[in-house]
Amino acid sequence: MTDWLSKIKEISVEDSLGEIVSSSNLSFKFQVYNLKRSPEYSSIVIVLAGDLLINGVITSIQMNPKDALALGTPSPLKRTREQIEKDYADIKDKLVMTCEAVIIGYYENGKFYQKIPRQIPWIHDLVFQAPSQYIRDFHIMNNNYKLSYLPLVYNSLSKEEKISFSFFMDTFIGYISLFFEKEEMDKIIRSIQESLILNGLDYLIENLNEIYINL
Amino acid sequence: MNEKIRIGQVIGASLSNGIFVQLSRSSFVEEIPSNSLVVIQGDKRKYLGLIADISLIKGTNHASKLANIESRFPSDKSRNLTKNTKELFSSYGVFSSAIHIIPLSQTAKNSTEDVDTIPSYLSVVSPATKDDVEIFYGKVDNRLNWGIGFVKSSLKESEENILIPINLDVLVRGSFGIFGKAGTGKTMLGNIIAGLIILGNKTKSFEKEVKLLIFDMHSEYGLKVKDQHGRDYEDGVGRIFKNDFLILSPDHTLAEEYGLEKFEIKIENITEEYIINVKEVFDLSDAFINYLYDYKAIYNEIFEKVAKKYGINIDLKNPWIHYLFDDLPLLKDNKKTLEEIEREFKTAVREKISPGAIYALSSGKSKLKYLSRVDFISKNSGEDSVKKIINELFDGNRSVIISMGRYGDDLRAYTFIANIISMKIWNTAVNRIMKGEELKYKIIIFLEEAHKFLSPEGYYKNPFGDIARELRKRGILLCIIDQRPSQIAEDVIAMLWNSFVFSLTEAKDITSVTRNLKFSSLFESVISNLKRREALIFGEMIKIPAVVTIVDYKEMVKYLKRVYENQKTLVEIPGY
Repeated sequence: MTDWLSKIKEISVEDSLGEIVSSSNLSFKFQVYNLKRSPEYSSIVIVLAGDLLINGVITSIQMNPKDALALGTPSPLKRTREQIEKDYADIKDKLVMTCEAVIIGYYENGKFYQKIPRQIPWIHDLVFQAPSQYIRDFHIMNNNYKLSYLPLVYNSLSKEEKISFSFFMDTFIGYISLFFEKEEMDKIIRSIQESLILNGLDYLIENLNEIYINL
Repeated sequence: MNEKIRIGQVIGASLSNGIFVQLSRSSFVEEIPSNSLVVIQGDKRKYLGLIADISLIKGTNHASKLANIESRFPSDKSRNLTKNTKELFSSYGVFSSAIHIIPLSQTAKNSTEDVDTIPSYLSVVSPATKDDVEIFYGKVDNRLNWGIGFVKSSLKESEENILIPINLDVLVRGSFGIFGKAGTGKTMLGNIIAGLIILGNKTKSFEKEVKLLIFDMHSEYGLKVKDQHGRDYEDGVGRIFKNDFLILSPDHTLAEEYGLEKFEIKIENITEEYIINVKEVFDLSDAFINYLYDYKAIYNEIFEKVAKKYGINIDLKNPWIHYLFDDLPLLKDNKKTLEEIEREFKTAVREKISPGAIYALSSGKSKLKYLSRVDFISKNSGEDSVKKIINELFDGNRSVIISMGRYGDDLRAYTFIANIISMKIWNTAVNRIMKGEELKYKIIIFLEEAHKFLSPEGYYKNPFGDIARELRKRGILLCIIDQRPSQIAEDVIAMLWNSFVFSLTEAKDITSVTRNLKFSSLFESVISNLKRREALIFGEMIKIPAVVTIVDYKEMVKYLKRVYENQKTLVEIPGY
């Protein structure tokens, strides 16, 4: 199996997505370096946390003026993105994109785990987009397809966010299905169902089924 | 073997409400039938239980949503996903099913006893095996303990046939009942029991020989048992044991066709008591019944006077009864004499009783006219069947079947005949007892449509009621056969030592037969869920109540015939 720690460490800092600005044992926030390479909602990212790779799924993305107090509320510019880029070349330096991700597992000593790591990401740790094979490996453990972390995601959400969890699932299932064949996805779905049942979230299963049927 | 099959585990129990068991697999609901026997292995003892109910206890909301999704998105993908989800829900208990068990008995050291404890949480439930059945019910030995039905296996695919024995000697110690809707198997069971009793006599299984008197409404004891479509199915007990039965029929055409003895009652042997006993079924007025003895006294006095006046010598014990049934043949040629008697009689009735008594008489006479048209009221001299029946039952060698033939659905004929015979039995038994004689035989009277004789309003003044109340200790018992037990007096039901209950649907009927059972309310669903040929049996003859599928009648007949023909040794055949 691939030594993912070495592989991620080999990736240039320039190719990272951003770095941690706050973290806990359940989630982390990171600031995106390059707006044009911003991560997608519900995608999986990796935090290089020393000798640990901590995996998170993005549950929230925000964009704000860099210094809201100094700049105040942005004024309307009446331009397309391309026109703005041309007319205000430095504008990207005045905007900041922050992503919030829920921790869904980690990679340590050559093994993947779908559970909360003993260590948390540190501020300034680099965040990377997860490669396709990394995502596959994260979900295939001992030749079994496993995706058991959705309850972690659900339980870390606020009450309001939980109400719209099925919308998150819809996007997330679509994202995950990019990395697996249909037969593999059937197994992934079964694993999700099992994890929902075991965590008392079986009431989400019919939503999941409907999402999957309509994929 | 079923021994290791784990149906489920106890998740709740109480002595008053029974035991709740979560099934190991949700799909067991399609494999485990109600009314089957299970064994519960507790920490300290074993329990025997009867499955009273099966239910899907959890998952309705999920099932509804899944069904909704499948119907909104009909595709293979959707169907497969739903199927897989169902399996997952079942294995993780999201879909959960349970059985409700009536505890029947528990082990105690080396024996069994009535339940007074409940199994602990998570006790394992398995189908009852042959060994379990033998521990709790004992073994079939074909001497005293006869297998009349098979345990219903608690797994549909199981082919194990385990017989449950009843103690025949105990059965014939008290009155018993066979209840159930039409077509459930009462008559076949009645024939089987009658056959076993005859065999029991042959094998000297009883302390005293048992005689049977069977009121055979539809001629299924004396001739052929019919199947559910009304077609001849197999010989009735009277044909199987030809030499042990005197079979009579009030339907003389049937008697001639099948070589049965004609049942006849001589008019002169009909008494006022017989008429009083059929008051309801003939719709006789209270006035007619109240004046019956007055009519008799007045008529007989006038008859004697007028006969003397004209020098007519007719030797009649009770001319009044002949008048009532229009049977005065010797006076037919003497119209004037008859008219004079009638005129004087009516005048006397009017004066001595009341003018209204004339109307009561005329109405009663016309209602009883039916009896003057039937085959079995004999106007000729000859042997009276009632006397012959009584002789046979008390002193003879045979049991008796009265096959009603075309009178089977005629309640007037049936109740008239049954009442007359029962009164004679009562009188004969009481006379002998008063003389200090011990009755030679036990007599069991098989009485179909028993509620016609043993209703709450009428049983205390009916001879069958007297027999049920007073003669059990003297060995005269009833086998009450009925589809409406709720219409039988509670006192009579309470006197039954044993009951065989086939399917009943009316709540009142179910309540009436389960009243004497522990956990009576739990048994109500058991009875309503019984299939054809299945019966709940309980009482002194069996240690613990059981639901059995009554043995196949044809097989049983073959067996009975074989044993009968070879009385010296009881032949073992598979299942017996």
